[in-house]
Amino acid sequence: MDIDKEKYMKILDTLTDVLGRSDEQSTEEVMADIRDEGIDVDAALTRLKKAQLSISMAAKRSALDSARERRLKLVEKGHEFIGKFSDWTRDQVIERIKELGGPEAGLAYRDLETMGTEEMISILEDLEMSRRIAMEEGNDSE
Amino acid sequence: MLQHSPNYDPTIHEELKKADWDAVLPRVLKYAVFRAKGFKWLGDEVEPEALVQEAIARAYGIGIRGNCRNWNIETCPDLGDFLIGIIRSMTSHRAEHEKEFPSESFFNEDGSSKDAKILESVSETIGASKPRTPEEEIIENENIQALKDELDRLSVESEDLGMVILCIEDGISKPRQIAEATGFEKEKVNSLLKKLRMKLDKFKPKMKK
Repeated sequence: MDIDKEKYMKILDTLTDVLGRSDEQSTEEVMADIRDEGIDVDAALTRLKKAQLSISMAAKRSALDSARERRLKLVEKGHEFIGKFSDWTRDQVIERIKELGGPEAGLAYRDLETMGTEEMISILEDLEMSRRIAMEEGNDSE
Repeated sequence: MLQHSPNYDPTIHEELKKADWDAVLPRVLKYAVFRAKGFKWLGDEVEPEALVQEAIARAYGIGIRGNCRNWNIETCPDLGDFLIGIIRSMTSHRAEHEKEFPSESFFNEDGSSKDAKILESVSETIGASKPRTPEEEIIENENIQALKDELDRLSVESEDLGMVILCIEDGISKPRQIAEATGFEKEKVNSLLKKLRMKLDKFKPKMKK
């Protein structure tokens, strides 16, 4: 073949780019150009509008799915705390809950005192898990 | 399942929701029509609507094979320009690696999604202009030669059209810049481009399939 294919591919790119442009044209003129190409422009635009709505819905679903997937993964990671504190003393558990819970846990301290150790351990597991999720979500949003 | 790329910022959905799609879509469709025509001139069939749909899907972060584009409204306030940019980039013959788009629409006439299996096979349709067999390579080369001959013929036939074709061969793609380069009025450039479109309509390439 005696032509420079690469060169003509570039020309083809520019040619289709310039022919497809609608700089400073009105919507009516643009639609007339599409019609000139033998396309039922109204039907095509109706289909595209519907497709755009479908895509936007699919994207929303996808965003929700991704968020749910991320939460599930974090909850899974949180399972590592289950049973981790079973050999801790009651004082160690109370101390850690106060550390994690901040002032709110301090206020509820009297309620903690009335609880059994197992119940307190379960609260500590939940708090550790929440802390992990909050940390991971903080990292995600950065 | 359609899935967001981890590189995509879903807060862009709000901006896309606010956009005037009725004003944007005709321009984007027109651009896609002519980009698809470029493939036809090489012997491939690409549906313009498929290009528009894929550009929209990328703008929403759910393009084929995780392709996505984050719309920066600050640097590109016009959504139409942004979508045209996506189509230009995915159909550019200069960026072979980018050419991952469906050649057929993935929505039915009523806007509903096509069967998942069809979607899968469509997502495999990549490199629409890349010849896959020696026969396709021959057809493509013949089409390029014929297109070159046609452009040469049109240049000889009309001096003004020849000037516009010369600009295109030099890589000038904006009508305003063609007007500056040729000294023609903008209206004359637009009319010559219309004439070129009509003349090239008569160009009948050989199809690969």
